[in-house]
Amino acid sequence: MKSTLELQEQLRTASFALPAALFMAATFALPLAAVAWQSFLSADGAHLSGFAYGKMLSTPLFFLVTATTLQISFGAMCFSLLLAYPTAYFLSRQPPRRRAFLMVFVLVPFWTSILVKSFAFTILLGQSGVVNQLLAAVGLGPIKLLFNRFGVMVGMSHFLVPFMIFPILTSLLKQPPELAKAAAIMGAGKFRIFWKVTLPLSVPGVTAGCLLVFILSLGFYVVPALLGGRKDMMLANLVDFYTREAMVWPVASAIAVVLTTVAVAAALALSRVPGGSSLLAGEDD
Amino acid sequence: MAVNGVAVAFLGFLVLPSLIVVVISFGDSNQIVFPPKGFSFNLFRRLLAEEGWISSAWLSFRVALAASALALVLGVPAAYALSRGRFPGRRWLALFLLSPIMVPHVVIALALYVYFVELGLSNGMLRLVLAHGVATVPFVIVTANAGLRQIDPSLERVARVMGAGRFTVLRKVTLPLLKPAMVAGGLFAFLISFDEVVISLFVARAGYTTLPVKMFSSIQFEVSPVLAAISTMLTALSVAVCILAARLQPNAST
Amino acid sequence: MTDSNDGFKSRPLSRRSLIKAGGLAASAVALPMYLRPASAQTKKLVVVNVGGAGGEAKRRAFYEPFTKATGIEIVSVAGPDLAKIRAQVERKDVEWDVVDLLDAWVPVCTRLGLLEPIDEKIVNREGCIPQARHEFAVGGSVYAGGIAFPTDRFGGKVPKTWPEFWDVKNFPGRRGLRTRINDTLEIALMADGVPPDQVYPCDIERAFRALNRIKPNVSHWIAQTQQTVALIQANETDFTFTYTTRVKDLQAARVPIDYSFRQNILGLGWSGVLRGTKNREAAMRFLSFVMNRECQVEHANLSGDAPTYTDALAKVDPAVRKWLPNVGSKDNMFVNAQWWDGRLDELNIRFKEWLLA
Repeated sequence: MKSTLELQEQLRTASFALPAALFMAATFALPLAAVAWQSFLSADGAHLSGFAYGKMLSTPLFFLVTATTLQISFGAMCFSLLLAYPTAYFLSRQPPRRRAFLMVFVLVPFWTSILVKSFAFTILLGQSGVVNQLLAAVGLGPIKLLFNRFGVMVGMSHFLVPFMIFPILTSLLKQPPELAKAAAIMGAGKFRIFWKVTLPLSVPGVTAGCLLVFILSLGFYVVPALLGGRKDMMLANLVDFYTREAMVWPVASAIAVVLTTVAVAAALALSRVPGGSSLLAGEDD
Repeated sequence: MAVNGVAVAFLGFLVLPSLIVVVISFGDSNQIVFPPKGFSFNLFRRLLAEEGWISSAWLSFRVALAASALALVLGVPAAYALSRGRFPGRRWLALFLLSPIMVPHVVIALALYVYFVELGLSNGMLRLVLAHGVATVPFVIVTANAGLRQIDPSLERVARVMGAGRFTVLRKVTLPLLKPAMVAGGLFAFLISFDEVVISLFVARAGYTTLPVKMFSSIQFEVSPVLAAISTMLTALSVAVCILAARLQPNAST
Repeated sequence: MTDSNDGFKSRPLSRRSLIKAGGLAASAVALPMYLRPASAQTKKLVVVNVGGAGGEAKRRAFYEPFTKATGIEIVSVAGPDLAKIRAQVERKDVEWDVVDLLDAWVPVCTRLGLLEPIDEKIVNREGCIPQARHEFAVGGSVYAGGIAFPTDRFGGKVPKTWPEFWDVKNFPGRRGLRTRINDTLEIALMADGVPPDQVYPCDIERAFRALNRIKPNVSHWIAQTQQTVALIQANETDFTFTYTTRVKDLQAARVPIDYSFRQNILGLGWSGVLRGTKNREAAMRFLSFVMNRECQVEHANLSGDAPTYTDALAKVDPAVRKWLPNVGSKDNMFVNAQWWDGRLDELNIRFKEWLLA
């Protein structure tokens, strides 16, 4: 008797997700299924064929570009984390009003068109850029900071860092300050408190941020094309080429399927990391 | 402290390129030139004179507003179900609802593009709002979910024991407590929608050119130095919004 | 190898039914009242251009005179897109009436039957250059690409032809080429000594051998046109392939940069009418304005692209005229999009692999 009531209650709770689920089924799952289906068609779309995947397997290009895409996405994730964590930590230690103000700095890069921004990066980091001129003044350099993998990392993390900062900041703000205080009373040093208390408790935020940034990176191609070298080629670039230039849509779809598979695999892998499961369901860590 | 130094340097790194663009936008040469050889409002004048920049910005604003409203209406109840429910299949439902984050935008764009044409969905506004809804709902779910997990469920339980109905509890207890998370989620959705280019590029119909799409197409075939002026205006706008948000914050220290 | 490119004539039935099956679910989202409204607007023409300053020049040179003469309003859309053209025509959902086309798109659109044939009764293009003549499109302007170089470095010792561009001993400096194979292939052949008017049909192997030689001296492989001149300006590179209009605008902005008019690659600014448009006649009338001498002269003055009537050249503002390419010269070459049709996919893969190696 009680279990029926319980079940009814659970179903009622579940029904709250119904509109979102219907929406996603109609405007996301279905069109995406059509893409997956299209990847199994022949070039003329008339019959089933392994043509698109055959094409991908027959040239080294797709393997090389897939490898590059994974490397760049992973690198952008690490780079963003390296930059975002100290910033989030710093922001979490500020009073709320000042913190809200400092958010300007995190959000501003969002609003500057990447093309003019890439020109600005050249002025800052180029061969005769500000940084290299400063280095030359102290007898160093020049260092190649742009139009290589490093340039890609800089440009991508510049855009992606809010997606890393927000989850980390949230998880840092969630920690009761008393915890650190208690640890301090117990005689722990600042570094030890950070290492033993603050950092482990912020892992869920880090996991969420890493997942978001990694997956968003997989779909990038404009930034690598503008700030990278000749080898910084992304899969999304090929999707674009086959969709809009060569118009071989089964191949575009097949690359899309590969990209999506990689992203879902990354999500599932990260959900096994401590704190990662909270991302996929509301359970506590 | 070293961390502070690193953080401040990093915040500087984030805004520096935008500052350079601001300087470029006030140049007198009608081109992207740095350092500018003189000061003028040329590019801003062109921004106002050339067809479509202002109407595109206005369209983007309306689309972003509608898309974030849609995302909130769909996302918040879904987050409630995911965080409060203990029904079977909850994990899979969560994976499903969040999956648009996992699919790169080019892929969604390609899919929706063909889909809308097949359906004959010809309302330009609706196309954009639905497409942006797909991209933003997951972000609202993630944010609202985090907010709900910070609300002690025992508060809701107590209210129900006291005889309040389910919806009364939602209205009087849960939603008011969830307000900060909803504001954050809505803002996130707004930003993503306002900035979205790849999906809009594919699904938009004639006469529905959003600002990012207009900016993107103006770099694809040629570059319009007006981009520098637009970037400056958007930056100024976001700075104003952030300052406003800061003023609304209580000044208590943590 | 061409079969990869000529697909899509019949669309997969099964995918369609899959989508139709979802129509029910979708109609919960999309209210039926929004589905296919009857659009009986005849006083409007949707014209797609590249946007930005180029779109602005078109508006003043072609759209405004057209509206003034006919009373038909022009709705301009930025961002022509081959994939969208195809989807609109094949799904019989044409919302674009007139579209500006890239050279490469004209043969593709012809092959797939995406354009209305030009109505010679309405569009008079008597006397235009033969390259701008096509059964399904009109060429309203000519643009030129060639070598750009800085004037504040090298003391005038800069490459002005493609063999000189390849000659790194006599013309030291950092080179910039594009990340796309079209144009790059033609450039490599001219560099290897092929006269511009004999580039087609391209000797692909010879071009790649020439590319192998220059590869170590290319400091930048450039993805966006804007970067070609921006990188010279920022002293990141020295000699790049770019377009006259870029250099013209930057010179006006007092940037020390110049352009060589030797061995230019010429392309056409095409316009076509999508097959199945409800406004075919009005669209053709619009094309007659695109092929109108006075409009083209005004367009040249505003954009820096040449008219496609040689007898209209004299009317172009002299300050602009010195920037226009010599269309008739054997030293320049027109892009042959027909040659590229069906080869782009495979050559792109080969070139990208070559870049990665």
